[in-house]
Amino acid sequence: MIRIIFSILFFIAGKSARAYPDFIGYGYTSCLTCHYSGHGGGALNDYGRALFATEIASRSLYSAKTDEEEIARQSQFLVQTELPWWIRPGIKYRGLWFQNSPGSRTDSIQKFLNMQNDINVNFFLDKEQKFSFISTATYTTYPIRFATSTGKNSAPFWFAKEFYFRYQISRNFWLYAGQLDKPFGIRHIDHTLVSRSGIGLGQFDQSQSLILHATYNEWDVAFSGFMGNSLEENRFKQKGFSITGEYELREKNRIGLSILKSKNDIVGWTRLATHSRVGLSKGSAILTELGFFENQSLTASSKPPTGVYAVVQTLAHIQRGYNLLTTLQYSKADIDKPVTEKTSFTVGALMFPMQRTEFRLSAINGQNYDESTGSKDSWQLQSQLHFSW
Amino acid sequence: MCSFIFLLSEFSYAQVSRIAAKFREIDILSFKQISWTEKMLIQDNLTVEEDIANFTGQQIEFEKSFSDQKWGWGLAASLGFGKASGGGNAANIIFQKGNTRWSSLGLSAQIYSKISPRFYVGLRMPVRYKNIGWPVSDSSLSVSSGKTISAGVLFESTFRLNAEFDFTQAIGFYSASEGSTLWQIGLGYRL
Repeated sequence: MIRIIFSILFFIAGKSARAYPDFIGYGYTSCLTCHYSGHGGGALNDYGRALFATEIASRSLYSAKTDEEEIARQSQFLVQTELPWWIRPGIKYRGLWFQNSPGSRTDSIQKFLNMQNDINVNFFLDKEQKFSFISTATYTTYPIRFATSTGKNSAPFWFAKEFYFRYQISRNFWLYAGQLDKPFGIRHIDHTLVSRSGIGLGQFDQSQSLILHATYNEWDVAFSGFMGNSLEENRFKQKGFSITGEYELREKNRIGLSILKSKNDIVGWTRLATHSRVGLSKGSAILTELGFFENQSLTASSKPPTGVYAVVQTLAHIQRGYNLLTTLQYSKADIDKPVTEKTSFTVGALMFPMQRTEFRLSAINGQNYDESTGSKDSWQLQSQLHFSW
Repeated sequence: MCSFIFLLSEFSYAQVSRIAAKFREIDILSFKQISWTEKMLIQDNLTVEEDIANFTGQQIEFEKSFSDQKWGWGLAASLGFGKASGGGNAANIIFQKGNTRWSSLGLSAQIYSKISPRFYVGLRMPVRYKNIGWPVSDSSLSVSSGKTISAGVLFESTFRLNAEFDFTQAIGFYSASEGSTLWQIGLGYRL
């Protein structure tokens, strides 16, 4: 049933997207406006830094006399000092505190994670940035992602998360070669969503790729061929392709379609998704994604189950720098069998109290429906602090 | 005394008329997905155990809503139906049933604030009559969950997608669920 609601919402709202894809509410439909990557995430470009400072973040720390141009100037890496045109560094940090089962005397646990520790260094061969080299080194304290595929599960370590050449072929065509995120669906900033890590597109799932990206005002499409993460052993590397595209039905109102097919020596992946991004009044938006997935074991001859997922995220702009964020998730591992239907509802505040800074507070309620047993609700409290310098 | 009542009723009528003239009336027909959990009681002769029941389903709602530029309120009637699954956790009594049908009738009142022309937040206070019969195979067994009549408070947000359609989501607590959380998400059509 919930799939029907998502589908209807998708089509009514219709009458790839990316880190803060919700900012379509401000009228920014393309990730390239703010990021070096056409599919979002990673380092901010100069315009993205200035936009963060002058439109997204609160200006309450500035006096009324300080104009927006001055605030934009202060968004540079060295604040007031402009770096040479050929280099743009950046630092990103995200810390997460969470508490499961708050209030419970027996089950409650809390933990703090240094979730994102990135250093970006980006080089340009020309002032127009037609030839660019983008790189992100990251330090992870919980290398679960690579536990089986690299053996690096025993200690925190540094590694190159993304590194790629970007070449602007023409006004509308871009070529990316190197290790970066696979273009697919809405690239939410929350990598734990069922539409991200739930289908193998999580925080450390970048892949060595060749991507051709065509961008026009009313549509864009990306073709990606990929051959796995450079850290993984060969037999674990997912090799395949993904295609994602978006079409603008009307201003601030886009629909998209994505497909991904790949395999390694163990399992083959098929993913298919539709999405919509609708900007409402200034800064507010609704994003929906409905997808299907299959994981085909290469040692089994039987047809794999088809799973389904859906995500609805709303961003409501309260005032500059302060927003209400909700996320509804639904997933079911097999659409043909009465297996557990997992749902979660997140409600919280997304705040940018000053430039370079994001602060989140949220509560997550999880409810499962299973034909074979009743289960309690789950609750988690989260707080995140993000610096993007 | 009669005169006083007459004056009071005349005054109230005038007040209501003025308020009604100030507020715009809209009829909204909504279709919502609903989900919540209830405490389940399983009794076998003298032994009573607690378990959990999960409910999911759909709700059709008709609302009369009144609003001005900044505020609004509404009264709604709803019809709900869906499936429930419960049991399977009790230590001594074996009971588990999935796909058990439930239905409900409800009334609710809502008050909301227009944060922007396309985003409203508010509180909804529903009262609901719920009907479910948990099937038992043994006559010594009796099973119930939650309360037949319950009330709650939901925090509700509404996004105006366009002139006709609203997207609503609500989260809150119902007395029937005794501490667990209820959600609703859905689409509203402005008639």
